[in-house]
Amino acid sequence: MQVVANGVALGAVLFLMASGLALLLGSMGVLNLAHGAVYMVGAYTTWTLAISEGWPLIPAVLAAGAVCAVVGVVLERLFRFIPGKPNEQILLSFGLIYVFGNLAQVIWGPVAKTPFDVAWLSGAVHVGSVAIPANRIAIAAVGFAVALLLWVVQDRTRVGAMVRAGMDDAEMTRALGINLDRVVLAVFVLGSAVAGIAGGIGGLVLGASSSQPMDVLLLALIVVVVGGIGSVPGTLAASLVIGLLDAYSRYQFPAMSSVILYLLMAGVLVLRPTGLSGRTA
Amino acid sequence: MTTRRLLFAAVSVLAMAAGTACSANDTGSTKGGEVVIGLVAPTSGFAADYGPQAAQGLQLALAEAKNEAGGAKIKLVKVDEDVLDSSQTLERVKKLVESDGADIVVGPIFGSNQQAISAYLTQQGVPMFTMLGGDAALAGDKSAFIWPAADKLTAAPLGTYAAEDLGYKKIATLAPDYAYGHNAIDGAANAFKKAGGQVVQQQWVPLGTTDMLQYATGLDKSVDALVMWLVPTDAAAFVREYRNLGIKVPLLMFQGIFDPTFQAVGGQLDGVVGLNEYNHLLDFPANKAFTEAYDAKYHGIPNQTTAFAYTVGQNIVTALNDDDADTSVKALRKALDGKKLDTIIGPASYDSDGIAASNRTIVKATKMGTRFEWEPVKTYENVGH
Amino acid sequence: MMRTVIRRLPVIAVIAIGLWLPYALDSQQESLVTRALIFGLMAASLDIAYGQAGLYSLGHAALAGVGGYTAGLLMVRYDVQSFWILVGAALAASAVASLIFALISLRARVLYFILVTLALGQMVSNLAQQWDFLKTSQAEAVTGIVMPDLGFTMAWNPATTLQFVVVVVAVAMIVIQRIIGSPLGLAFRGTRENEVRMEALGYHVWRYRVAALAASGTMCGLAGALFAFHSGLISPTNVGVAASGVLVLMVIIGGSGTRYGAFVGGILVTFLQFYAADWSLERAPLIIGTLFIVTALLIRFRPRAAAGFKAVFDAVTRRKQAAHVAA
Repeated sequence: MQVVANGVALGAVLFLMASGLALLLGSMGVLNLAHGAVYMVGAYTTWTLAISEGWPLIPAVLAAGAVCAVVGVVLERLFRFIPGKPNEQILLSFGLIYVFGNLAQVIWGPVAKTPFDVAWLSGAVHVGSVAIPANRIAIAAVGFAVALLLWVVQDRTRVGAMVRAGMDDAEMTRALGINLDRVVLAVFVLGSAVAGIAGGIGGLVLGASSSQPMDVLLLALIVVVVGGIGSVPGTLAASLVIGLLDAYSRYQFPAMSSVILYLLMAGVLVLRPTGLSGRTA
Repeated sequence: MTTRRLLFAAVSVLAMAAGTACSANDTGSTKGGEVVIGLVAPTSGFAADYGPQAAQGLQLALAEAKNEAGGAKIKLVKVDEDVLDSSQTLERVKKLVESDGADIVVGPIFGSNQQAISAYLTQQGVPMFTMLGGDAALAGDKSAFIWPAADKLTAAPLGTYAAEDLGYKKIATLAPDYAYGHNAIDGAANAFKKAGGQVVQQQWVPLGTTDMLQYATGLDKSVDALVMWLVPTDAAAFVREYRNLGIKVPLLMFQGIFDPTFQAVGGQLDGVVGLNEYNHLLDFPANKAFTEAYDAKYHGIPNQTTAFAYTVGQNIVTALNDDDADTSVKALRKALDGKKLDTIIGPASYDSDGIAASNRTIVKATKMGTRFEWEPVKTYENVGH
Repeated sequence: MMRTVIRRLPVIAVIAIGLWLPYALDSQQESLVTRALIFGLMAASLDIAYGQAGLYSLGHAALAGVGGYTAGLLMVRYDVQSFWILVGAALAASAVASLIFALISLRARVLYFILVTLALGQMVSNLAQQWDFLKTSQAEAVTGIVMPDLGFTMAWNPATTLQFVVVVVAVAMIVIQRIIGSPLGLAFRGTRENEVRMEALGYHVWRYRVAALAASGTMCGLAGALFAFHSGLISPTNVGVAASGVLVLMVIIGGSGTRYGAFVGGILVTFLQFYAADWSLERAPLIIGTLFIVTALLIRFRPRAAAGFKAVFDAVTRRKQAAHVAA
């Protein structure tokens, strides 16, 4: 049972990492691999505000989200500058990963920041023989809140409808007079803000480090592929599945756990080429 | 379009190459009274703090020797150790040896890189002085000199102390799942078993794991203590989970946790027992002199990387003084074999294979004034032979 | 006859330079050039799938790695020293791996394909990290690899290694150029440009894609084996997503889908990585990353001069291609 709790806890962290990416990748297929870098900015910003400057956690995380929203605008400008070809997008993304990672070292030093210590979130909740640390509950709570928010935006708002339309048929959407460029900007900003918040709250468990641009990207990609690009419920489901599988495999086959994860990803795609519930992009 | 990009990339590479060519070499292969020491340590990437710290220690030692030994002038060249791709490190070391004329290599820090360059350095006859441990197999008839001890023996006193002094009967272990992790912790575990104890559970954390929760929840709570080693960041993460879950099993930490991470989590470690290879509070005159010299020049407290780079620098100077600046592996082995070295962690020596033995110190985490410290409690001598 | 010589001139010139180079360079530079050539070949191999067939794979370092690990393990664990056996085994292994790779990854389309290749590549890397069979030393790698036995006496030093690699890479590049210039290559480009039309014309697009991945993966395996011989080791980092990413960057910088672009890109990026680290101990990734970003942004600027240059270049090559197809 503890394994299940661990798995769900891990799943919550994964979801936060991946949710922004699911949205970004889904919107007109912009191959923005710098998502992990935005997460890192969120993590470091929160560290600076909450741990170094002593802000309370919630405002610090929200501020991190705001900072990353701004970063999202900058990224969107850069990606717009290089009209949609995958080659340039990959080149740009990798360049950003290198630059962000190294800049983080310049600003915050090469030693990674330890998981954030917040007084009111220390200790654990004990349910029978299962122990769940308080900070995980907080992460899960934020994760579900974000999931709800994104789902509402995507499924229930006009903007969301426009995004979905753009995903399905960009030309037609523009022909209908919808300013898709503005929608893309909005998605970038939202996705980046979510990544920033993810980095901030995720810092309770993962801290902040200059290798997060690549590490977080990889994890987020697994989740997004399994869950389906552009689908929030899919990402949520995938995060939980992967979290549980990871926890279980570490428990049973510690040596091969990471291989199993990637095996799962390949397996899902063989069976369902667009992920658990993705749209045919 | 492609052409322009190609042009751009080509120009930048050429510019860099030109810049390097101009600045770098007055090929120090002039044997005429100069010894070139090449420091191989990471200066970029996630371990980028090691390089500058090692450089500080080494430079301090060389400065004290007035940059000369055995009648030759000493020159220091630095190379960035690639912590991810050992083949890059190898290419850089080739340049270090062939273009920059390095006679002695200090480092590398990471075992993977030590393995990668060892064959090449042995073939070139260049000694490799490690400063944070290493695989014993790289010494002997290969060209390494291992400091402070072979990996498999360096943590043994922790196991001995746990059994004999603390009276523990059953322990669990926790370490990263790669060579150094296995070697170090098994060293402690084997010593524990030899003293009559039982190792009940061993957890190995795959490289790249960031989430430590399951290793805390998965711990067999019936043991008397958990003997562990993790890199500072992971150790801090683990301790965080541990304390959050309210687990009471005592921790025995090989190496403790290094600064600055230790200062961040010191409050959670009060009373925890550790084993240090280096500790800045050690009572030896050499250490006092060293810490004062470091503070005077760099302001602050030296960490293990700096301290051991300093020590290795001193060892090299001593050896060169002894053999008149002969930098061949054979000569250096002979010069150091059994020679008593008064190092900052006490008396130490290398054996005829080039493997060092030195002191270890059992420590306890306490708060002293405004800082958290690992306070020395007991010393074990001659660990490593 | 004359035309053949002129057509072959660039290749002959390159080989000649390659064989002469050792006399002009010092041994460390020779090692670097050798490494650059190997990556040039790896990038060119990737380009068969990436540029020619439009399959954006982020997992090719793993395929190169299969070749490298095969050669390395056979040598270190089983004491196989013959170059021919080692390379043969490497090619066979990477061919099989590429087929499996293709069968799994081609189930996914476009964006998903990229991600699946990434996952498969990283899986191979994790396997190399965890499976004890794939580690021969205290490091998580296969070490102790040396230059193999050619069947006739050959003293291996940086100079002869470079000459040898020049020859092998030249032969491999000729093979790759043959593939690109052949009707098969034409078909690859067709599937890249317009899948629907190709199907309509009776081409089984899927089969051609498998072929492209198989060809590119196998040639990558050869490059991987050469890498193992030259570096003396092969480790999980060399086959993971970071390495695959750099391979893709090499192709992109050199120009995907062109005849020699990827090859040149591989050479350039290898030099870039080395000299950036030499130039700046701490800021190398920053320099490299900035170069990538600026290079990407430069796509917007298409000066007329470069266009003109390209037009001339194209005219020459197109004439070659037309002549070949007509014949």
